[in-house]
This record gives sequence, C-alpha cells and structure tokens, in this order.
Amino acid sequence: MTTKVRERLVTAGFFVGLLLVWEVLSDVGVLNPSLAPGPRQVLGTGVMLFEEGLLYDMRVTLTYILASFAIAVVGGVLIGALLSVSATVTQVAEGFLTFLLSIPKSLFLPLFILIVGIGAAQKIAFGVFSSFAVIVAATIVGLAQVDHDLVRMARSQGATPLQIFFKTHLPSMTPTLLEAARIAMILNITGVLIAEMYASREGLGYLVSNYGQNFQVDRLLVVIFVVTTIGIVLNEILRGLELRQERWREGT
Amino acid sequence: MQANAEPITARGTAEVPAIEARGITHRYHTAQGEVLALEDVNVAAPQGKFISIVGPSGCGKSSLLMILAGLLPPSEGERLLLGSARSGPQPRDLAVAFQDACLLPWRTSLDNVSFPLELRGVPKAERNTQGREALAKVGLESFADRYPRELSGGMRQRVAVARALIQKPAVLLMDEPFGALDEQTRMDMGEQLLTLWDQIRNTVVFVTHNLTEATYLSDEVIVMAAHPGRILERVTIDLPRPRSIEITETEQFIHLRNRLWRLIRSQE
Repeated sequence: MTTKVRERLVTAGFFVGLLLVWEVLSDVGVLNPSLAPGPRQVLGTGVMLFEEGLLYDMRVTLTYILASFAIAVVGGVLIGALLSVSATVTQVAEGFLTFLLSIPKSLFLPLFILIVGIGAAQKIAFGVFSSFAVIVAATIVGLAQVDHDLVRMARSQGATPLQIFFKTHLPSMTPTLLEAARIAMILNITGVLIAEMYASREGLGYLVSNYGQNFQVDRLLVVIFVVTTIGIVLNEILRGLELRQERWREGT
Repeated sequence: MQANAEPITARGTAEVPAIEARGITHRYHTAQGEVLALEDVNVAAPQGKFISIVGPSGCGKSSLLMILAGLLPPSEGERLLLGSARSGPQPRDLAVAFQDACLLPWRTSLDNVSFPLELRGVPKAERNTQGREALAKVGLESFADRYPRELSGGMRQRVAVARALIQKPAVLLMDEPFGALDEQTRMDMGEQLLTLWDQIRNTVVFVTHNLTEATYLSDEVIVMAAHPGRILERVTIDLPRPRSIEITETEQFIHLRNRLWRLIRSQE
C-alpha cells in the first residue's frame, strides 16, 4: 500500500468517524436535534429537497458563479494588461488595488442594489466586484515577470503584437493567473452567495438565509453541504489545470 | 513559403551581399550620459559565407548583430538585406539564434521548433512534419515531446538551431549561441553546426568571443574594438572545407588564431 493511499484512507476514516460520533451524539440527545440534527436526518432532508427542486437553485447559483468568474478573469486580465502599459499607471493602480483588496466587499452591497437592482445582474456584478481585483493584481505581477528575451525571440520570427501577447505573455503568466484564479473563485462564490442572501427569491444563498430565518437547521445543513461541494469541485478543477503546468515549470 | 522553397543562392546576384551594415552608428543613454556603442560600422556578408564577429566585451558586437537582425533600430546608418534596405525583423529571409537558446519553456521541443511556422499560419500537420525533420537534422528526433527543462544545455541550443533553420533563412544570425556551454560541448556543437551548414550553405553571421570557435567555423573573422565599438580588421580564414575538429591542431589554424589573439590583445 503506497503512502498516498494510506493517507487517503486515514482522511476518509476520520470523516466517517466524525459522522458516526455526530450521529450518536444527536441520537442519544447530547446535541439538541433542532440545532444539530444527525447525519441520517440531514441526508433524508437532502433527498427531499432535491425532489422539491434544489437542483434549480443550484443551477441558478452556479450560473451566477461561472458567469461572474468568466467576466472577472477576462476583464481582470484585460484591465491588468492595460494598467501594465506604463510604469506610472501601474504604480497608481497598485495603490488603488491594495485598497480594493483590503476592504470588506459586503459593505458595498447596498450600493450595488441601488445601482443595478436585485436581478441576476446584481449577483453577477457583485461576484465580479468581489474577485476581479485579485486577477488584476496577478496580471500585473505576471506581466512584470515575462522574460523579455522570449518576447524578442518571438519578434525576430515575425510575431504580431497579438501573437506576442497570446503566445509569450499569456502562457508565461498562466501559472500566476491560475493561482490567483483559485483565490478569485472563493471570493467570487462568497460574493454571489452574499448577494443572494441579501436580496433574492431563488438560488442557494436565498435558501441559506430563508432556512436560517425559519429555524430549519436540517435544510440549512443540506444547502451548506451543497455549496461546499460546489466550492471543492470548482477548486479542484482549477488545481487540475495548475498541475498540468507543473511539467514545464522549473524547480518543481 | 514559395520563396523559401527556392535554393537560397538563387536569390539576387552573387555581387549583392546577403546582409550589409552601412555606416551604422549607435548611441544609447545611461544615467552617466550618452554612450557611443558603435561608430560608423560597415560590414558586408557575401552570400553563402560564414562570417564571425569577435571582440572584447563592450565592443558592441551583440548590438551590431541585433541591428542586423532588425531588432534594434540604429541611431544612424542602414541595414541592407539581400540588397535592399528593409527595417524590422524579416523572418522569411533572416533567422536569429540567441544566447541561452530562448526556448518557450511551456512548449515541447517539437512545438518550439515549429513556432516560426505557427506564426505564419502553417497548418498543424505540416508544421509537425517539418518540425520533426528539423529536429532530426540536429539529432533530437527522439526528444520531440520533451520540455526545455528536461533537456541539457547543449540539447536546448540544438533545438534553437533547428528552430532557426526551419525558417529556411538566407541569412542566419547567431549571437554567442554556444557561449553558456562548456568547452567540450561547445566544440561538439561547432562541429555539428558546420556539418549542417555544409548542406545548406546560406550566409551566417556568428558573434562569439571564443577565437578557436571563430577560426574553426568561419570564412572571414571580423575583429572589433571597443570604446567606441568599431571594426579593427578583417581576417580571411582560408582553411579548406569541409573542416573536421582535427584542423584546430594544424599549424595554419594556430597561426590564424594567434593573429586574431594579437589583434584583440593590441587594444588593451
């Protein structure tokens, strides 16, 4: 048995153990079943919720998450590239970015609602707002690290400015961008969910706030589990892309 | 692509140099003021000849090569390629092999070699065929799927040479391509380069600070002086071709190399 398999078994065993303890504690009444229903009950509620149409809310939220992520990445790279054109502009932008990266984004949610209303646009816009600064910052860093000798080589072979960007700049900053994309994805999921919790009639964020207010802890736990799963899957997809870069990178 | 299919010597007449620098003066600005890197440099490389440029560091030999490549606009003077003044890189007539190989680290050997064709929009199947042929010429066909970090320094440089040759350039400019390699590998690479070049016989301008390498490879060695960068002397290397590495031990070779050495020494 390899170390890796053993590690996985230990991790899996830990979680199974945790679920068992939880179940036992809630069955014997140590845990208040209305605040911490056991895993069996949560599972039952989960099946029921999926039958009631939880998939629809998942689709709504996932659409917002993916749309705002795509906009944040494409827009962030474009803005980052534009800001990198001049050193002075980069310097000014970096100050502003530090500000954007350090403030809690949720403060601006009411402002967003006043500006774009409470429809899909608000969720997507807030998701983008929560994550794009990370991509802009990573783009600026990534572009600064591009090897000028490679750019000159591409130029000597007749590459057009667009070819130079897509075939030398972009691939050399991809590892930096992917790393940033994982952080951006987390911020983006948070942004979309908060926007949904604040003002919405559908989506996982709405369900979280609705079930919370109505004291339906078993339902709340199901939604939390679904959101966690979405987060893990998206993160693993990005990590898979990152691992594909490993083969050509130095020192890995 | 059509133009490249013709034999290289058929382009232009023999009297027109393949590449020429006319009255090149180059200045650049530093915090300490203006530096005169090159002063009124005139060089002409005849078609089908192997020319080396040697000189002490700071003589501007690499700048001169970048000007010949069309990658550095000179302050004064012009570059003529196959008889006409054309500015900027001319990838269909001219290829450059840089110091440190300059391979794209995220591409395999094959994708690096076929990069110039990709930029021209050659379809993938065609560029893979040509890329494999080019790799075979430098003896690396079995390394087609390796990434640069998985290759030795000498192999990386061979990939870079293959990438330059895939352009089928009338003029090949090489900027200390073997400078980062150890002496043994460097001479091996020189020998392989000559074997390849004997089949192609295009025009090569080769910058180096290694006088043995320059003597061994070239038909003519241009010796430059520093401060300001200028041409000191042209030395014709009339050793018979094809040359093997043993030629470096002949009296005639040693005599020529010592002459270069004295020219460089005389400046200090």
